[in-house]
Amino acid sequence: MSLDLEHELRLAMQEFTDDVLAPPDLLARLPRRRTRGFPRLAVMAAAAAAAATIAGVVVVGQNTGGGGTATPVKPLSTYKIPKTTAQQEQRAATQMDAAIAHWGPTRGDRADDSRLMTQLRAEWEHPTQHPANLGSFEPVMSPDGPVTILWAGTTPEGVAAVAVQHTKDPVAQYWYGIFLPDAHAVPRLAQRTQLIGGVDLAEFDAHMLSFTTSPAHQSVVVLPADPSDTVRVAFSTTPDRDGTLVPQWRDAPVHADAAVVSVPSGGSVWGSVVEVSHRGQVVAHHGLDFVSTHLLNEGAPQPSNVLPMWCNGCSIGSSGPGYSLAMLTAWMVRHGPAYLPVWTSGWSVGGSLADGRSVLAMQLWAIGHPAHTVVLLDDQQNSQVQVLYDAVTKPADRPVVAVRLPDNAGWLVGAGPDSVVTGWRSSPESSWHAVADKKALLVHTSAGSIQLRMRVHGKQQVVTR
Amino acid sequence: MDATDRGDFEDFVRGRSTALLRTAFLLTGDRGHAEDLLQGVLERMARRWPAITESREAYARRALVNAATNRWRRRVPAQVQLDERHHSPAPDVSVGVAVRDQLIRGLMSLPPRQRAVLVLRYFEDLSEAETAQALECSLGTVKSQGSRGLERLRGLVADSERDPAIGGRTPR
Repeated sequence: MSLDLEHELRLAMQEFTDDVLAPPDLLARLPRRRTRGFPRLAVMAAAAAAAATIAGVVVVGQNTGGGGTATPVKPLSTYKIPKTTAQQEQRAATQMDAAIAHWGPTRGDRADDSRLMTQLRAEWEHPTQHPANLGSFEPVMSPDGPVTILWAGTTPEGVAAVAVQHTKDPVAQYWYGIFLPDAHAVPRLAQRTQLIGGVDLAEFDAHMLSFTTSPAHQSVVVLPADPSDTVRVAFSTTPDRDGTLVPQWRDAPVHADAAVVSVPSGGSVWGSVVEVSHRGQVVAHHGLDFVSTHLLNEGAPQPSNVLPMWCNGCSIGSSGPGYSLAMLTAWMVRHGPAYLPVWTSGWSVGGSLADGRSVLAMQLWAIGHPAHTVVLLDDQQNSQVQVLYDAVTKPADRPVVAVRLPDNAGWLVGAGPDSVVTGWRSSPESSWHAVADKKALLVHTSAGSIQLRMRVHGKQQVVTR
Repeated sequence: MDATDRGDFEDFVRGRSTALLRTAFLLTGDRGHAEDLLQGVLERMARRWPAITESREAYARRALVNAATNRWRRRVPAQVQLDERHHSPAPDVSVGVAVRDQLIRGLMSLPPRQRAVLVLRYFEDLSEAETAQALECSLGTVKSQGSRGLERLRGLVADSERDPAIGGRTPR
């Protein structure tokens, strides 16, 4: 048979791809990798400005009946990326390069185990887990150069490790991965994400790296940049008399370059705070970098509760407390070009309702644009996310949140950083229902309005919604 | 990126994504991987959009090809999920369809660079010089890789003509 191979190959490829169409939501999908959880800059700003904010008791929340929004949707064309963003990214990239370059040889009590190093590099190259389960794994970023094992050490659950690898991409310079011990105490690659200058510095603090070792959160590992630094970890916070959250610190001694701390009974990593001091000066103070990192066969960790919860240092998304990324995407698609990086606040209030839906209040903003305080409701069964509330607020604000949930699910209430809720009632004529200094709570009432009794800076105030 | 650039980018995504996805599908042999690949490329392009001065489609194609051929070098050979028409040609199917089916199977079994050369040359209809530019390699490499790829496919088709049973297998 005389075969025009090239012609047949053309036809074959055309036929083979005839029914391949780009997904209609491709544009909307683009932010997937750009959302990052913990904006350290925002937290620092909040610390400076929180008192001024709360002094006036900024209260957000409207009775929207579940479908409304406080602000109209802005057309995409109104958003602009500031010209300085690229410069910021470049500066941050330089810092990141320096931080990794200055890290030095592999640290940890297993650093000299050459067999382990070989095993880790092989696991990095050929992960036991499917890449789809490795966080924001994106094959488009070609690795460049050898894998660097920053730390490999012993934890109560087995050997864990942290690795980075340079990429050829000028923006996302590094892959960054965490190895966790599996059921047989063998380290497996559990998380691999990209470090993007500027944006992802939130996930790469030059002063420390931190993560949990298992979904059960048996241990927390903190790697200070300088092994002589001192580390403290708080697994719980307590509101003081004025309502200010006070971390319950415990020292975390650094041995063999790492502070490995077991989570105490009754403690939780979800609202934990880590502090690193260098020569007596606090250089890092924030939540754990990676909370929900887990191995494929372990299942994603979930906070045991979340209502009531005031999370003083958690993030959401790949390293957050179990909220779906769809909740963020719903806001991003609504308010900005899908490819814009989005910051999230260092605070959140939320939890699961009795019917399984998740509710979350937090602050989101695209870089260079106004911050929004939003309340989102995720109906996972119907794959729908409702934006219950959305209004522009200052990035430093930690307002009191009081939002009526749809379907008579009650009211979501979250206090500000320097206040606590001490009671509620559905009308001025009714009696107060006392609550014990709550930072957040779900008020079970079908009333269309609510009064909150709060202690703000030690003084009682009543807030009406 | 100003409003005009953003509009351009979104127009590009809407207008060119299907074509690029088809190329990615041929390069990877897997629809999901192809979408991941394209999404990653588009994300990167979005961040650098104003700085991309060459043809944006050429840029995207080159990024796709590089990503597909450099992806950790551990996905080869591709695992191809062929649909029914490719899986089990009926006994009375035309010779042309059977040959094309065999060609796709053969294409997916080629090393990534050889496959990329054939996809760019015969699906994208790029010249050898354009293919070399897209692959960031020499003209000679394109010629040799293309020639080897075609030779391999010709051999596979000849084999299947001798042993029709081969045509029913899915490459592993």
